[in-house]
Amino acid sequence: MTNVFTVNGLRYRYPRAPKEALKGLDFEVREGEIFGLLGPSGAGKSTAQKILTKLLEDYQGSIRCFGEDLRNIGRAYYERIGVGFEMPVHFTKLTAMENLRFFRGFYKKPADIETLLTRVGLWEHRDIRVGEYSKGMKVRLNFVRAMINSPRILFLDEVTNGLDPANARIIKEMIAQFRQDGGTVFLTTHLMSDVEQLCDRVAFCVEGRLAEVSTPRELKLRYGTREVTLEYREAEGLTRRSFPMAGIGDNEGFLKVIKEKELETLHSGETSMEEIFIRVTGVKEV
Amino acid sequence: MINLAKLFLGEMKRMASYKILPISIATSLIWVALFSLLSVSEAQRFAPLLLYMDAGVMSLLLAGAFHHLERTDGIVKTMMVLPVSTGQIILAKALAAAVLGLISALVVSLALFFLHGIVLRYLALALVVAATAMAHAAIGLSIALKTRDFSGTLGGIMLFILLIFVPAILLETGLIPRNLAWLVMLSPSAAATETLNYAAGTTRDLLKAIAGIVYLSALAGLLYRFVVLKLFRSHASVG
Repeated sequence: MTNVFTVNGLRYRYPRAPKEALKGLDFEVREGEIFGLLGPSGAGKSTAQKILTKLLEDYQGSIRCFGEDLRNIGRAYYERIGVGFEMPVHFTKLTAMENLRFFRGFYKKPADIETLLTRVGLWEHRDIRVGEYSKGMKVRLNFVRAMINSPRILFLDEVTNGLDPANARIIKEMIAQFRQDGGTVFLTTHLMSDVEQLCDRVAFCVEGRLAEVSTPRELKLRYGTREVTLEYREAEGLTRRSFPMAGIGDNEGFLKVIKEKELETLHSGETSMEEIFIRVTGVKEV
Repeated sequence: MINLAKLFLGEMKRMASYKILPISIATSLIWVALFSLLSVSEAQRFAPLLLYMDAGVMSLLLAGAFHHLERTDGIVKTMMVLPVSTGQIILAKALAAAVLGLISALVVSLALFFLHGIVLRYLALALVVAATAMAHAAIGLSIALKTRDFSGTLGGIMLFILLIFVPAILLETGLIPRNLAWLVMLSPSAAATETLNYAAGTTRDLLKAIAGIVYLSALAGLLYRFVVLKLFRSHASVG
């Protein structure tokens, strides 16, 4: 599989900052995958994204994009990438349509505005000034802005933050579709539900270093408990019992319960991404 | 070149939407009203000062204010991920400032001609207004990019106006002797008013006018190239 990005020994220190924001990151982003960079605030994930989007340039280490040194790639880079910022980034006195027409005019392969706006439910609101949009509408417009140049690589920062579940699902479906069509996504987020639903691989960034790079499934297996927990009702109330996953088919106690009791719940002991986030990063609030 | 044109047209459209252009024209119309109350000689004498207020002071203020509106909207970052150079983005802003100044100068020139029959040296006027507006917009942008919020920018601009405007006023009122005019012209304000005096026909010092235009153009170029561009880039990466 081709690497979209190959990052080696990436270090960065902001001017006048006492310590480095990135202390030597090594990772690769493969073509056609959704790669999630996770971590608490200030961990360095936004810095990494700014470097990969060429907003920060004085970094140390090597970044290769499709094998080419990122430093040597000019402004044409922005024809290939789409960047979805967390904060609203539109001219508030202009309408959504005026904003998108302005940005669209600079690209060689512009996307169809109507298709994108319709998909995110903003077509009917296209002639309203962005300043009058709700937060959720602005977030959706940010996503459309990121897709306006039909990019091959999409950088998304907290892409569903501020969206209601229905609109968050639409955006996630669009991201999944983008990946299915061959696109690559670099996602930075602290929303673990997005990670579980979208990411093929994730990296945890803690204090400027990568603590883990793996798939969500591998992480869940590694950090979880290999057991099955059953809940069933008996005369004295609700009973909860756990059984080891290994040799469960021969576990007489387990077989007896599922044969004789009326089960209310049955769960494997895999842990949630929230739990993994907390354990890897040491941060209690997600 | 096409991208520069698109950026420039975008700037002009936003200047209209953000009421920068109407405010600038409204200010010019106030000068027009003032001219209607003055005699021919008074109008000719005041014209350079009022033209400077439009091309210089207004450019300074409006460029700073405009940048803060765009900063609030989070625009700088999204502009930086367009397939255009930062230089083009900055140049489009400089050209828009020049056009804004020229529109105001056109309004004032027409008023002077139709109200008092005053004919200006239009080529000199166009050149000095464009150079003045670009240089002052560069100063306004530099201050805005250096300060954290709008009140900080406003304070910076006011201080700057005081510093650069006072020498020009002192020269105009004769409190600074005319033989020091070359030295005082180091102030962009004085360079602009001296050159505008030539454009308005109140002096015949062509050399000073050329020096003023060259100086203001060079100042604008240097500020955009070495200050605004750098600050704009660092602002986009941190903001």
